[in-house]
Amino acid sequence: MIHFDEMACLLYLEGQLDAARSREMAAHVQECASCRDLLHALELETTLLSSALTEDTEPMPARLASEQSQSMPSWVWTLAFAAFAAGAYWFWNDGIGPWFDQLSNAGFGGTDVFSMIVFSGAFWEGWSDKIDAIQIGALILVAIVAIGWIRRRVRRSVAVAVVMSALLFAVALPQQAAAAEVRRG
Amino acid sequence: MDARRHPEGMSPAEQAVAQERIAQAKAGNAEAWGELYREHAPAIFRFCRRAMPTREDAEDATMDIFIKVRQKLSQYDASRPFSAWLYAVAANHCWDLLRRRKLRQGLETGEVENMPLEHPDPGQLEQLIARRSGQEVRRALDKLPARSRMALVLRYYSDMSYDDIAATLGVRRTFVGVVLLRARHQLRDILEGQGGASLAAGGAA
Repeated sequence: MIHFDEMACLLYLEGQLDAARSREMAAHVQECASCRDLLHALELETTLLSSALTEDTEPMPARLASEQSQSMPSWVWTLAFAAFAAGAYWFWNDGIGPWFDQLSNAGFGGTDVFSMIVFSGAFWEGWSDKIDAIQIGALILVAIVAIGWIRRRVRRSVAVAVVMSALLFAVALPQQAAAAEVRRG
Repeated sequence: MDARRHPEGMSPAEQAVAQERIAQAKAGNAEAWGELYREHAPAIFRFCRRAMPTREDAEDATMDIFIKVRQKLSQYDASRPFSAWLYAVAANHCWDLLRRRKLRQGLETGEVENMPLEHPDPGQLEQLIARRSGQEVRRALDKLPARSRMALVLRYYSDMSYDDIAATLGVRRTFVGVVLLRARHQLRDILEGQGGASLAAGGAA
């Protein structure tokens, strides 16, 4: 007796065989225990797959509970962009600009990346004033917590963008105060 | 109501209410859109949870899908079941994401076509099925290549037709059965935990 293969059995179960082939299969399984068993096993497998896939095992996340949280209001995007632009402006003027000025005064070309990193990076006296490891650590911690909190409402990329923009903006504020002190001196 | 499949298998009155809600949402009624969202979001989230590798991916994908659905709502053809259209949008979105992330580890059509599949022993297959719980099957699904997993999710979660699966996965319709059968074999191998050799009854019959 010629048996049907597993592919034909699956297509038969899923209603994908043409009418003639389907009738042939139906007649065959009446007489063939082997093909009948295979059909039964495949059917059980389909049931297991369906139930495993459709079982409701996890509750809806809170941030998906309302359609309100799906999209960011445009004003949030505007604010985030403005904060990012302000931060970038500060970073360029008070962060990158002085480096280039100092390099030029020291006789190094601003286009030489190696010189900039070695001489302006490693030996720059300003590091001690600028970098405080504890402050940075605290800042990173605050940023992570903030991203985690905001993420409950919006998607990851948006949360990261908002927090990074806010950080840049916040870092810019003390720099302006320091410039005022210099003017008083 | 379970919005996972056949939500149109409801009474004519319920169908009329559902169609009215969709029409109102199309017209820009925020309340109607909110109701549509609450009705379908849990099922779409579960779909994404099964199709995407992590929970976070599923959450983000669900958000993006509904943003897309809202934007495309005017294109929805009311003669087609809404859930089928919704799942098509969701499936295309998820598969597109997976493809872009190069998680598409499945074999290409030609390789699938030529892949020999060993004929299973029905008795052993039944025993394997009886021994495994839904949770074990879900864990095994997570280990499947992206295309195999997506094919199983589209067929056995979304109840998608072979034509729609072919369109989503970008394979010829005649290969959808092969992709599904291959995915089943891979799943059995993982569930068996020993290469699946013990299920095989010999060469193809």
